[in-house]
Amino acid sequence: MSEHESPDSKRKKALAAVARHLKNYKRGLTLGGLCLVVTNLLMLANPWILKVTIDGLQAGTTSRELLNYAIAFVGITVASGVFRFLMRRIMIGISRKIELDMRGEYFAHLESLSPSFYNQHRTGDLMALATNDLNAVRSLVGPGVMYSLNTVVVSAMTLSLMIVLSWRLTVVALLPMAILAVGMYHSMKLIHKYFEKVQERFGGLNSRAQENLSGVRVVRAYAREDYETAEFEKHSRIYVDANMKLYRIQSLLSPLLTSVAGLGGLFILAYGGKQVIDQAITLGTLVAFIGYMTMLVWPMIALGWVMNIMERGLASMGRINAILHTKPEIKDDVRSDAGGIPVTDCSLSFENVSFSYDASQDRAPVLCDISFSVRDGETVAIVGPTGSGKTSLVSLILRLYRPQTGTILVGGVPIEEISLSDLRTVVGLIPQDIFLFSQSIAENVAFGVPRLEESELDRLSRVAAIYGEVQNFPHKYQTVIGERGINLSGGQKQRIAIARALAKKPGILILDDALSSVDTDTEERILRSLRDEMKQRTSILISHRISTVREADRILVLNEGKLVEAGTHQELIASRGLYADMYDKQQIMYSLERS
Amino acid sequence: MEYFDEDEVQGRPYDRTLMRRILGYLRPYRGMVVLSIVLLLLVSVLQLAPPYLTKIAIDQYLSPASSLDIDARYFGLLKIIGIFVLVLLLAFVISYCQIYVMAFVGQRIMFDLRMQIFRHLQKKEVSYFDRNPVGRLMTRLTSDVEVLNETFTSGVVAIFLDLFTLLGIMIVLCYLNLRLAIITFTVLPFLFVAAMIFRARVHRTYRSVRKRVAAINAFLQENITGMSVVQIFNRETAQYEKFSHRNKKLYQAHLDTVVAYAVFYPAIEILSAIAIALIIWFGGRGVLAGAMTFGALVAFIQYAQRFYRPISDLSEKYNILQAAMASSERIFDLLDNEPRIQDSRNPKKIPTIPAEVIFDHVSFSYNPGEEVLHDVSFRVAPGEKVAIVGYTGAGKTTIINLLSRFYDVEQGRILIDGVDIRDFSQRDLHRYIATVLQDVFLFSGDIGHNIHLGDRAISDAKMMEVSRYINADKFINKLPLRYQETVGERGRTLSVGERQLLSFARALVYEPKILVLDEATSSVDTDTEYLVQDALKKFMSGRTSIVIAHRLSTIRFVDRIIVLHKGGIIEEGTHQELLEHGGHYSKLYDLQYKDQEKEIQFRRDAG
Ligand SMILES: Nc1ncnc2c1ncn2[C@@H]1O[C@H](COP(=O)(O)OP(=O)(O)OP(=O)(O)O)[C@@H](O)[C@H]1O
Ligand SMILES: Nc1ncnc2c1ncn2[C@@H]1O[C@H](COP(=O)(O)OP(=O)(O)OP(=O)(O)O)[C@@H](O)[C@H]1O
Ligand SMILES: [Mg+2]
Ligand SMILES: [Mg+2]
Repeated sequence: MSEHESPDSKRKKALAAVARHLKNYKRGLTLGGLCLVVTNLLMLANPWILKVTIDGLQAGTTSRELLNYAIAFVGITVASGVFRFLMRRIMIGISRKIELDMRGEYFAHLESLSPSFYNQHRTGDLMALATNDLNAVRSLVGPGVMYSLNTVVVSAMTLSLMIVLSWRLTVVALLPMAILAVGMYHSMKLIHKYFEKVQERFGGLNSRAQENLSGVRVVRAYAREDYETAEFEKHSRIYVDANMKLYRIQSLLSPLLTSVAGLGGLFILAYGGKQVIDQAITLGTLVAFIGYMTMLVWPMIALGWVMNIMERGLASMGRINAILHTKPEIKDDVRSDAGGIPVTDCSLSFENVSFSYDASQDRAPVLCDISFSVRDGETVAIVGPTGSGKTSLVSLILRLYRPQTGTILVGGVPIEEISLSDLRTVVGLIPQDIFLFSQSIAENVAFGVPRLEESELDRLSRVAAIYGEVQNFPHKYQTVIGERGINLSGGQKQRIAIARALAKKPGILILDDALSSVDTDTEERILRSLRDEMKQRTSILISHRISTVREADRILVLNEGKLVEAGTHQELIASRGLYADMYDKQQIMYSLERS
Repeated sequence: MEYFDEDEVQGRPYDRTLMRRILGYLRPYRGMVVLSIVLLLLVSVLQLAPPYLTKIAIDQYLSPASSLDIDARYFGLLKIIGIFVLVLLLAFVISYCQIYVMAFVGQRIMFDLRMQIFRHLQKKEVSYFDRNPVGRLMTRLTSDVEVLNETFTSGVVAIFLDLFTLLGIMIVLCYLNLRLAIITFTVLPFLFVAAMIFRARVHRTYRSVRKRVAAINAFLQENITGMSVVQIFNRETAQYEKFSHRNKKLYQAHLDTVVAYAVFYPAIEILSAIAIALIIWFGGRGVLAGAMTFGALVAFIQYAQRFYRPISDLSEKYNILQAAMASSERIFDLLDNEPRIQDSRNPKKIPTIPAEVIFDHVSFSYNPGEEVLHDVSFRVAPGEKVAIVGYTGAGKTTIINLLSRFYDVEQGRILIDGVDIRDFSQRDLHRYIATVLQDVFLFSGDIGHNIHLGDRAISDAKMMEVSRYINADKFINKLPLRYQETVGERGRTLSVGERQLLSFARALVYEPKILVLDEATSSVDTDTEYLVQDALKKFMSGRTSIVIAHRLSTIRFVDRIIVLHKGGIIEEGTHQELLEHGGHYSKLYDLQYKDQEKEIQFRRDAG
C-alpha cells in the first residue's frame, strides 16, 4: 500500500476515482439534477399560494376560489412529489449502480493479485473494504451528491431573492460564513483523518473475527475462549475509541452550522435593526429578510451533513484505491490470443533459478541456482527435508511467484512468454494445502473445466479412489461440502483435490505431498491408477515417503534450497548421499518393527 | 440439498418485542439517555428563542410605532443582541454535548452487543460452525451491529422530542379550533396506513439486503482465502461471474429499498398537503361565513404546517428503525440459538493425573441416519500409548472430535476416570487433553504466539525447549526475528511441514494429561519425524497418548493398536499380536513395507 503518499495527493486521487465513476452516469445524473431543480422550484410555489389565499381571504373571496387554491396546493405538491420520486429513484439508484460497479471492479482486481499480496493482507481487512468502506463511498455518490446539489440549488434560489431585496444585508448575513469556512476546512481534514482510522480499526476488528471463527477448533481444543474474548474486546475497544475521537469533531458540525445560521440572523438583526432605526431601510424589508434567512437554516445544516459524508467517502475511497492501485506482481505479459506461445510439448526445465520470498531481506534464498530438466512424459520426484523449498519450486512453475534470477521453460518456451491461462491450463497442481470450495463434490471436481460428463466424473473418482465413499454419501456427487471441506476427512479432501486436478487433463501434473493423509492401501491404489495417467504426461511427485517416489524415472533431492542430488532410486542409494540416508532411516524404522 | 443452514430468521419476532429488546440495551446508560433527553429539550427551547427575540426587537425597538427615543432604541437593540449571542452560545454548547453523549451511548451499546455476540459464539457447538460460513457470522458480528448505531445516535432520543412536539401541536390545534383540528386529523389514518404498507415493504427488502450482504461476505471470505486455487485453475472469470450474480442480487434488493423510499417521502408530503388544503377549504369557508376569525385561521395554518414537520422527521427515524430491525432480528436469532453442547450445572472436577479413557458403546453420526461410528468400545489405561489406524474416512478423526466434545455422542458414553465427559466443564476437559488437529490452523500472529496461544503461564524458555526437542527451532532460528517473526494468515508464509511442527509444539507446551495426535507428522521429513518421536518419548512418559497415523513408522512406539474400519473396531492388540493375527493391520503393514521386504531379500540374496 502506498502509505507514504501525502494525504493531499491521496485525497485528490480519491476525488478523481469518484469523479470517474460519476462520469459514467453523466446523463442520468443530469436528469436527476433537473428533477431536483424542478422539485425545488415547485416547492417555492406553495408558500406563495398560501400567501395569496390569506391575502384573498382578507380582501374577501369566493368559496370557488378557495377550492381552486386548495386544489392548486395539492396539485403542486403532487407534481413536486413526482419529481421528487424521480430524483431519488434516479440519483440514489445510480449510487447503487456505482456501488455494484465498484464492488465488481474490486473483486476483479483481487483476482489479479498474486499470493504475495495475500501474504501481507488479512482477509478481514480486504472484506471490510468491500463492505464498510464501499458503503461510505456509496453514501458519497448517492445522498452526498444529491443533497449537496439540493443545498446548492436551495441556497442559490434563496440568496438571489435576498440579493434582490438588499445586497448589503446579504453580505452582512453571510459574514459568519467566512468564520465557518475556516472552521469547516480544519474539521473536514480531521474528519478525514479520523474516519480513515476508524475504518482501519474496523478492518482489524473484522480480521480478528475472521480468524477466531475460522480457527474455532483450535480455540476450543486449547480452551482459549477467554483469551480470544479479551483480544476481541481489546480490538472492539480501540475501535470504539477511534469512533469517539471522530465523534468529538463530527458532533460539532450540526451545532456549528445551526449557530452560524443563527449568527447570520443576529447580524441581520443588529445591522438591519440599526438601519431601521436610522430609517435607512423599512421594517418590512427587514422582516422579509429575516424570513429568508430562516429558509437558509435547513440548507446550512444539510451542508454540514453533506461535508461529513463527503470526507468519509473520500477517506474510504482512498483506502480502496490503495488496493486498486496495487499492481499485480504477476501479469499476463502476453495475451493468449495475441502472441502467447501455445504449449505443444510438456517438457519442463529450470535454468539457474534462484528465488526468495522477500528479496529485500537478508535471509538465505529459498531456492538457490536450481537447474534441471524434465522430458515430456517423464516422471520426476522431488524429495527433501521440511522447508527445503519443494513447494516453492513448484509454485514457480505456475507463476504464483516470480524467481529473482533464472528462467523456467515449459515446452522450451520461457513461461513469461506463455499466457497465464495457457500455462495454468497445461500445469495441474494438487497443492499440499488443500482448499475446497463450499459447493457440491461434482462442482469441486469440475472446478477447472467448463463441464464434466458424468462418466468422466466416475472415471476420475475411481482414479482418485474416492468413488466408493462418494457413492455411499446420501447425495453422492451432489453432496455439498462445508467451507474448506470441513465435513470431509483429511484423506477425502486430498482425493477430491486429486480428481479436481486430473479433470483438467493437464500436460504437466504436480502432486505436492498429495497422498500424505491417505492410508497405504489407498495410496497404493491411487499410485497404481495414477501411473497409467502419468504415462501420458509429465509429472512431478513430491513426497516424504520413499515408497511413493522410488519408482519415479528420476529423483531430485533438495536441501536448504539447493539441488543436491539427482538420479534414479538405485543410483541415489549407491551414491550414499542424503537420499540414501533418508532411505536408511526409513529402513531402520522398518527393521525395528520387525524385531 | 443445501449443506449450510439457510440464512433465514427462524421465528418471526414481533416488531414491538424486537424494539423493546433493542431499547433494553439502553438500560445501563439510562442516566445518559435521560441527560440527553433533557439537553435536547433545552436545545429545542433555546431554538425557539431567536424568533421570539426578533419579535420583541421589532415590536419594541424597531417598529416605527415605538415611543422610545433613539438612544433607548439603540440600547434596547443592543440588549436583545446580547441575549441573542448568549442563546446561540448556549444552544451550541448544549447541542454539542447532547450529540456527543448520544454518540457515546450508541458506541457503548454496539460494543456491548458485539461482545455479547462474540461471547455467545465462543460457546456455540462446533457443528454450528460447520453449518454457517465464516463470512456470514462475521457479518453478524461487525456490520449488522454497525447498522444499529444510527438508531441510537440519531434515532431513539430524537423520537421522544418529535412525539412531544407532535402532541403539543395537536393540543394547540384542538384548542384553536376543535372542528378544524378534527378535519386536519382525518388525514392521520391514511398516514398510518401508508406507513404500514411502507413498513411491510421495506422490512422485506431490508431483510433481503442483510441476507445478501451476508452472502457476499461469505463468498468474499471463501474466495479471498482460496484465491490461489482460483488462479491455479484459471477460474477468475467463472468466479467473477458468480460474484457478479451475488452482487447484482444485492443491488436489486437495494433498488427495491430505493423505490420504496422514493415513494414514501412524497406520499407523506402529499398527505400533509391534503390536510392543509382541507384547512384552506373548510377554514376559509368558515372565515367567509364569519364562523371563524381571520387571525385564527392564519395561526391554524401556521401550526398545521409545523404539525407535519415532526411527522416527516418521524418517518425518517422510522426508516432508520426498520433497517435496525432487519439487522437486530438476525442478531437476536443468533443469540437466541442456545449452544447445543453445554456444561453440566455442577461440573465434576477433572482428575489431576492421567486417568483411564473409556469409549463405551459409542455411536455417532454427523447427519441423522448416516452413522459414522458404530458401537465403538475401547479402553486406554492411564499412561498408555494407543494408536488408531485405519482406512481414510474410517472415522479416526471423529473419535477425537468426540473425545474433545466438539460433538456429543449419540449413544454410549465416553468416560475419563470413570466419569462421563459431559459431566466435566468443557474448559477443564480441553485443558486436560491437548490435540494436534489434522487440519493445522495457525493465527496470523508471531511464531511464539502460535505456540503459546497467548497463555502467559507458558514461559519463553519452555517454548524454546520444546521447539528444540522437536527440531522446530531449526527453521525458527533461521528467521530474522525468530519467535517474533509474524506468519501470514493460517501460517501461509511457512511450509506445511513447518506449520505442523508449530502446532505440535503448541500441544507439548501445554503439558496435557492426555496428548492426542491426529496425523501430526504426516508432512514432515523422516529426520524430523525421528526427532519428534524421541521428543515424545521424553515428554510423554507417564502421560496418556492417542496417536492416529497412516505411516506405521509413526506409531512404532505405542503400546497398543486399534484398527478402525468403516466406523467400527475390527482389531485390537500389540503390533506383534496384530501381525500374527494376519488381519487388516498386517495387510496394511505388508503393503507399506513390501518394498523394503523385497529390498532386504534382494540384498540378502546378493550379499
Ligand atoms: N509465502 C512465504 N513467504 C515467506 N517465506 C515462505 C513462504 N512460503 C514458504 N516460505 C519459506 O520458504 C521455505 C521453503 O518453503 P516450502 O514450502 O517450499 O518448503 P517445502 O520443501 O515444501 O516443505 P514441506 O516439506 O514442509 O512442505 C521455508 O523455510 C518457508 O518458511
Ligand atoms: N463435520 C462433519 N460433518 C459431516 N460429516 C463428516 C464431518 N467430519 C467427517 N465427516 C464424515 O465422517 C466420516 C469419517 O471422517 P473422519 O474424519 O473421522 O475420517 P478419518 O478416519 O479421520 O479419515 P482420514 O484418515 O482421511 O483423516 C467421513 O466419511 C467424513 O466424510
Ligand atoms: Mg511443501
Ligand atoms: Mg482424519
